Amino acid sequence: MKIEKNKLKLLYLKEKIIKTILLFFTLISVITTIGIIFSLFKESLPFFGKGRIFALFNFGTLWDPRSEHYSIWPLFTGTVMIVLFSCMFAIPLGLGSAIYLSEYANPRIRSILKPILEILAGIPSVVYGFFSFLYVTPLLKSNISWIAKIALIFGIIITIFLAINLIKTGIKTEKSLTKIVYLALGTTFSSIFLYLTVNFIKFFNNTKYLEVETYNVLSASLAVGVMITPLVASLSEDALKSVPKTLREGSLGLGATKFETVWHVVVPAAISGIISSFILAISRAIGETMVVAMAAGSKPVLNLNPLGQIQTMTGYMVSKSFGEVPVGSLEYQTVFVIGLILFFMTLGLNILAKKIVDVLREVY
Amino acid sequence: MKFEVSNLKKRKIKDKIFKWIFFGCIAFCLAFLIFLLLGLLILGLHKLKPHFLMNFASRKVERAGFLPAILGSLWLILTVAIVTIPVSVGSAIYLEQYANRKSKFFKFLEVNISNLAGVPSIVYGLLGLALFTRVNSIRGTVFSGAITLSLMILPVIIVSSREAIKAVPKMLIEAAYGLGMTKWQMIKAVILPYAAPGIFTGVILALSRALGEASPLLIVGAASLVTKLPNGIFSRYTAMPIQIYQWTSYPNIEFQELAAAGIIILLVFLLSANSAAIILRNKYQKSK
Repeated sequence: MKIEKNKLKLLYLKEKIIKTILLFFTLISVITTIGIIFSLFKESLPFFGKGRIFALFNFGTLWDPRSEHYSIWPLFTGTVMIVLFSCMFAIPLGLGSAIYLSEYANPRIRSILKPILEILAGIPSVVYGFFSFLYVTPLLKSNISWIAKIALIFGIIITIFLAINLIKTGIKTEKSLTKIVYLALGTTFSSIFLYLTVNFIKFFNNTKYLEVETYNVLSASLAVGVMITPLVASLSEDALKSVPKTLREGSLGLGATKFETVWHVVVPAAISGIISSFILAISRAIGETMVVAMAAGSKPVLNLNPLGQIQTMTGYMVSKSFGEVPVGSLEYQTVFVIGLILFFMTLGLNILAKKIVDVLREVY
Repeated sequence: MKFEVSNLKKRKIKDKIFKWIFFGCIAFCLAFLIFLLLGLLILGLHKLKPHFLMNFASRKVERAGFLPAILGSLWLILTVAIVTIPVSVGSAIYLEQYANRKSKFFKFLEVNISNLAGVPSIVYGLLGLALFTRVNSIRGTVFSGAITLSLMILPVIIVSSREAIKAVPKMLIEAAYGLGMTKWQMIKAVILPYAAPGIFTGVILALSRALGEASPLLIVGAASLVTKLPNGIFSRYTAMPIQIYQWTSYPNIEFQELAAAGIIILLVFLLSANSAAIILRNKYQKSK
């Protein structure tokens, strides 16, 4: 019997040791977080001395630490432009695909179409960068004039549509604050519409003078957009699927068409998940590096033209590390400064995405 | 909304149009994918010759090869797998089976992991840079790159492994306890075998993400031109995505063709890994 007791003791000891090891493994992720924050602050802190912290947020049109131009705005606007244009592709594409997969496709078609998105999600960003530089940019270069014409007409239609709808809802709503917001947005869009229509012929004729640079925002954004489409699609699809069937059947039973059911019942019911997928997509687009480094250029000058080249925050970081920047030099510090800002931007967006799900979600 | 019979025709047309618009979204993705794959094949297929697979990278196009990049990537992935699988599966087991779910510490761990999963890969590169750059013997070696990539995919595998472990039926767990097993014996006998397919699907997907990732490696400092094949975790290396990025930065079109050939090989690795994961997942879902 004594031997048995010893065996049991050994067994319990083993259990305790294993539990400690597993706890240690779990703590590695905590250590990683601390490591990221600590190293970002530690390596970037020397930069902030000598008033450079103020120079960082001062408005300027050039980012070039070598010639002491420390304004972050050129890089920031570069990132914002990439985010804006890539989301212009990814949000409609992703939401449309999600709606088709969850509401329209039968299981057989779904099993064919769904892997497309999975493959798109699995392709590395180097490949997207290569493709957009080598194929999308030349395509854009030779077709820009009619693409711009279509975009112009499309823009006019969308602005008038938005303006009418916003003003309509603005008049209907009763809360004064929301009413003002709706009406203000409506008037903004209608004035954009008026501006575009008045100058229509001038803009239309000027499209033939448009020039696309070898590195440009638009083709990089298209690639980034297609790259983050699967993220939007899969998260939105999950949200749409969690809407109970009874809601759909009730709406169809009242005589609504399928589209009316989807657009006025299912999508509003899943709106928390859908919006949080958009925010996660924005956060992904901010952190996207290789496509931007390969196709959007490396010119850290303030530029708002989507056909010209820019440099994003991530693009700057990659461009510096390859040139063997000496450790502790000012450029080395700037890489970490940009990284610090990038880290907190994406962290904030990710937390916001989670908060939105918590606040807006309706449990059925 | 007005539901009058008079506008029924209009509504039905609108219904049809939007169905095609939604289909168009996914069709656009398909078209993009086909265009991308065809473009790569046309550009790179004729460069895929045996010597491309056997040679070192070179400034001369006709002698340039992909071998060091392939081997470097394999060394990387092997090291990443050895490091991440025990750590991430271990922490998934801890979170699901050992941790006290009501404690604040558990909540903190959960929030921490989900936030880590959203950190951009390039920031992990900065962490690696800060960790390894001052140690000359490690800088630019397989070890530094692999640790960086491991930290990057760790949260991803933890999340997917937890899902797999959660799916183990409570019944089986209680039966194992009823037989007098200790916790670890139960985990070995019930949880790991039952959750293995799910865990491996997650692991494969995460590893294939690490295989295609370039930006953290560029930041930590992969070698740009390698003259020796990597023969251990402390040798200098280059990886497939790095080599591809390098080739694309040369203006000569021939180098672009080499890059396309490299991409084809990278995609063969990735797509076979992904389809393995999908097959594994489908089998797993069917057997349940």
